[in-house]
Amino acid sequence: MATRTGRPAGSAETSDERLMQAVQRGEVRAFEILFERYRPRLFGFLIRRCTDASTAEDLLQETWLRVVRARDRFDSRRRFSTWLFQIANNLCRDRARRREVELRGTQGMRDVERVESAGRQAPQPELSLDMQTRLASLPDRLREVLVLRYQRDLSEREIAQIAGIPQGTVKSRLHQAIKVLRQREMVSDAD
Amino acid sequence: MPIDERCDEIQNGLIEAFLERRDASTAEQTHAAACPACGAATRDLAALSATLLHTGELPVERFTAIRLRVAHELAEAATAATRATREIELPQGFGRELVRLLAWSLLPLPLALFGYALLLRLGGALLGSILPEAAVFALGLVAAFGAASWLALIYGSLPFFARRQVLARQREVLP
Repeated sequence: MATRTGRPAGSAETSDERLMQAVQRGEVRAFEILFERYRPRLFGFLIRRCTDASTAEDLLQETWLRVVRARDRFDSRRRFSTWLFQIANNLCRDRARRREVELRGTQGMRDVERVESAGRQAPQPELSLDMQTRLASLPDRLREVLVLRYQRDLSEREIAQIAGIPQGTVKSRLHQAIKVLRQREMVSDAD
Repeated sequence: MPIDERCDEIQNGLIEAFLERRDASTAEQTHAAACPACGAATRDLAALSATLLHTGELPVERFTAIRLRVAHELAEAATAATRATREIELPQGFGRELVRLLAWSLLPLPLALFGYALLLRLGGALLGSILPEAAVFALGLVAAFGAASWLALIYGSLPFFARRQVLARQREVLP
């Protein structure tokens, strides 16, 4: 985690950690660069984690608001991306937990509708709807590691840190997730 | 190696390649091309990969709205923090003003202390004729403690006076 020195905070080449230090000092320009830098990745992560665009949009705003409000707690010796995705992931978990509570007692048809509509809402018409639906119905703890694994530069250690689980569990959950997705594929093939 | 074991091995390799986001080895690809089970696994993983990689996009103005809202909050928080810092910051010239006030307040101190000691002594002599010695001693202690408290209050408030004086002078100068 090298923070480049000798460059003014606020330029496009500045490291994330240095930009975050500038955000800690209240520099809006540094925040804007960070926002733009993570815009596609963070939104992509959120849409995969939450499976619908409007929730992802809400959580995108909430994530950045948390970043700004908790900026003094950021330790620049840590990687900014890990911290950012940790916040986003925790928000997704909270949202999933709240939904689960709301849906408890109204399982059955409404639950199925939720999974189906989640697949419908994701704006990717060119992709396999079946795979999206299966991904959406994957247990949250499995979807979490799978989506994190597909973030470009996150190592298994960082994924473990973000998800708050041991590193060994990351690997086992990844394999379990693929197994579950493939089993569903085989069941639907058989149908 | 029996065919099932070979397929398991190949499928594990395909999954590893998928998780590491690299291409499967040539041997794995060749096998998958000829084997229906491993071919299906390859297609599943490719579909999953495409789904995971497709991030989707919001219209730019929605991103802009979020960015502006958060930036506004940051700017407001930064302004409030600066204001708070300025409020506790000592104004320029504070040290000199404090020394000046301290010097002025120390000048009459020896005289005041001498007068107070004389008063205590006289009071002690007068009260000594009508009160027991222990009671006079206790009263003397109370009087001394009172005097010390007054001195602490006076000298302790000097920095606040100094800051007020400097700020008032600065306000006079400002247009």
